[in-house]
Amino acid sequence: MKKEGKIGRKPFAARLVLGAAVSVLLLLGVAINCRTKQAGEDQVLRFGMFAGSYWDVPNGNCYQIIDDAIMRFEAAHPGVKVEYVSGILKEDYSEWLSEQVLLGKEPDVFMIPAGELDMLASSRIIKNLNSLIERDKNFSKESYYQAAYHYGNIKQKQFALPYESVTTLMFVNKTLLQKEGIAMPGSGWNWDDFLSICRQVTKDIDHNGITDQFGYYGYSWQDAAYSNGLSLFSEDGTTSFFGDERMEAALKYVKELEEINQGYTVTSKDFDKGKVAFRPLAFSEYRTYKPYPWRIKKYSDFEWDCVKMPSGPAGGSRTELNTLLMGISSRTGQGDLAWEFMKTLCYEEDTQRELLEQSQGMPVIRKVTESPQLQALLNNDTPGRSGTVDMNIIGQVMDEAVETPNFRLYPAAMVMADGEISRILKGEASMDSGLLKLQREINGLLKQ
Amino acid sequence: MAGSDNKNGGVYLLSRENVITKLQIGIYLLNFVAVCLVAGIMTYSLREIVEVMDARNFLKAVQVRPWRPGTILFTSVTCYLMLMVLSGISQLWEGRGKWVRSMIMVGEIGFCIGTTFALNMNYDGLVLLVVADMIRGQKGGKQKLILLLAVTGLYTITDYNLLGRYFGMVPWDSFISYFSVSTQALLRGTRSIFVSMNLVLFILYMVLLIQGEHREKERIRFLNAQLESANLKLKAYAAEAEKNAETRERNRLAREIHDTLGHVLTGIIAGIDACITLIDISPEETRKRLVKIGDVTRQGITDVRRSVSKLRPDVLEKMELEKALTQMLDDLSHNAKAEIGFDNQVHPLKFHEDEEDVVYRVIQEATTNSIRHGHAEKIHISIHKKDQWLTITVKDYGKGCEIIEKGFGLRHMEERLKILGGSLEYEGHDGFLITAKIPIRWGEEYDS
Repeated sequence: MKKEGKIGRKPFAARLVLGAAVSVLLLLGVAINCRTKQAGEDQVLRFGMFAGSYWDVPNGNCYQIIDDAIMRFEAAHPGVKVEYVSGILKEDYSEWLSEQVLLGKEPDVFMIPAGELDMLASSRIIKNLNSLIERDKNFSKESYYQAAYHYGNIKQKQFALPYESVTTLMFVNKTLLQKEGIAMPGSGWNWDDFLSICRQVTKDIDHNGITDQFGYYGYSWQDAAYSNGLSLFSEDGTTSFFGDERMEAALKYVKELEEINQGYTVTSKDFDKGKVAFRPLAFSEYRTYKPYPWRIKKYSDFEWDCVKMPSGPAGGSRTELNTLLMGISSRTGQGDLAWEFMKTLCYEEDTQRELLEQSQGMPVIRKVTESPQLQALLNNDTPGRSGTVDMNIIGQVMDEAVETPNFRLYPAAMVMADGEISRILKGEASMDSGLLKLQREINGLLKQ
Repeated sequence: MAGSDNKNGGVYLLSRENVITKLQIGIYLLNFVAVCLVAGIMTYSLREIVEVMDARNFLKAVQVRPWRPGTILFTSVTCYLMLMVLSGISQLWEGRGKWVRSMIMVGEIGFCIGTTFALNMNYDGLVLLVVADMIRGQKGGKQKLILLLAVTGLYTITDYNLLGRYFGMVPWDSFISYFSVSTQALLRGTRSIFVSMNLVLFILYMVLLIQGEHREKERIRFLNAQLESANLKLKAYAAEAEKNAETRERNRLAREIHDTLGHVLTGIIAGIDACITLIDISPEETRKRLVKIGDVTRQGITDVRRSVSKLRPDVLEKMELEKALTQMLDDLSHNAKAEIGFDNQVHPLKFHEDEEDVVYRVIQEATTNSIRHGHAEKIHISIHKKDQWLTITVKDYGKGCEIIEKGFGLRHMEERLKILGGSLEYEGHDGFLITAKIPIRWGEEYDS
């Protein structure tokens, strides 16, 4: 009796097994068929980049360095082809990359959009490079400027390699200083020198009762804090140091500087017109506007040059280092090849040297930056003019630079700090208690 | 009556099996549609997000990298089909060994987790499918605990709220947030309907399955009760039959005594009375009479002996005691499948008839008790003598008996032994041990 009852179930089960198994085999067959069609062709490595300069300065031929690097890489790795999509603007790049990730077609190696390292790393979109670095005997992180290299590091995990960096330098209006009979500041200059020169040059030239020559433009409290040897956040981004006395000294100094201008707000136009002696500017700006043809486009009315930032009483002339990073997709099928290609871009001296010629950033490899070639190159940029930047200074600045924090809440914390500090500078809040309160609030934010 | 009952049960079974099969088809189909639907919507919305160029915000919001759209579809459908294959096999192989079934179960759990992961934990209905298979396969006892652990574990792993973020899963709401509000509501509703339908079908399926099991148990219990009552009746019959036999035996004995002894004694009394009267008149006549009385008495003894012979066990009539015992024990061990050891230290085993009877009866009764009440599978019997005492021990390794209720058998043995001046001891702590002692009239002449 029971057997009769089971007749209903067993054939059903048998049919189920058969039907489902056939479907699975069909699906697998289709999948394998799709895969094997790709085999036999060249191995393709995909690279993601944006057009133009990372530093928001004009760049004539952004693909030259990459194309040359690809050529060298393909020659060294026969059977491998590197492809990239050209023409993606920097402002569209982040969206483009995200779309590729969603479609599962992100490149094997790609440039990391500014400020998105933390998101890409925590979403596990980019690969943790620690094991690749450990395995690679030919790779030494000591070759890099520490700040540049460390920018790609989150919680002891190296997620990206630096490609090029830009540091902040102090632009000096040489014409103005000459007119005032003031010597170019040397590399050892400090806050007091900066302050006294500013006081000296700030005056009413045409005697119409309005001050029309100024000491500085755009020197921010961050510049003062860094040059006073202070890091604003701990490395892991869990605490801030706004309550530090070096911070207080920096703010006092900025306030003193501001007082020289007697309430007049200096604009970049004033600097462009040659009416301002100093302006902190990115190295990329220097590289762009120093040589022909861009030289005549901007800052053409006066002679100018760069020096290190003036150093504060508590520390050297440290500046913030801005770095373009590259990472490897965590689901790339050819991790080792991707690593080799990334090394071609970020580690090979040939590529890094070419950066000097073609790009506006600084090579991140110490050996390349400090080579005599660079000095010669910079001299070539400004034929007939004297007093170019001493590359040893650039090397020094790079060495001493601190990396921009890359943790997730950094932008939010900086917005908060900027608002509160401008209140303090305006005298709306007291300096010591205000800073301690700010530190407490930001630490609270970082705990989120 | 029983036949028609069976037939009804069979029809019932058939229809229930039918419903269960249909329910199963329903569950498989429903889940298949649900898996396809969820995977389809996920794939579609990923493409939609790219279409509306919101990929960057999506990635920022979910903070994980979703699977490739194709991978989601392929993995979820393949894993689900494999789950169906295994589920079918587990029904076909219901009778296979424990290990095979466990392996199938582990496989099912694996594919269930695979599908659920591919669907980013946005549909957990498959757990019920696996649970249904597990419950059908389990045989109670320790397996129940394993089942409980497995189900809890499975639910923990596949619950988005608990571990979803950790495994890098994207929540359902993020996927559908790119549809219009009304579509979102529709999609949310559709998914809930699938989840609830699945739950309803599962509960129905379980109810039918458990009901079937319950009915089966009921039937077994009913049959058991019937068997029990039949057994009781049989016991009552046996007791009555024994009693009848005893009464019959008593009557026969009474008759026998009356017929033989009564007749002879009456004759003797009459003869002796006549002798008393005659002794003075004619001693000669008296002697004649006495000789006659002697004859009658002798005749009486022969008669008594004949009667007693009739009461003797047949075997003892025909053969020696030892042989009879061996045969009886052989028969018993053969019939009851018990191992019976017989250790006789007395050679030759030959006594007076009444003693032989008692020895035979005691051993017979004791072994019968051991098998009937103690369910012994091993019995040891020994006979040895010391001085005039013959000791018989019967030891069994059966159930034993803490509180001994003297039954017909024991009482009978005791009575028989008492007649010969012997004794009986017994104890039932570890198996049952009977010790019988008989004073043997060694060498005493007995008229034969």
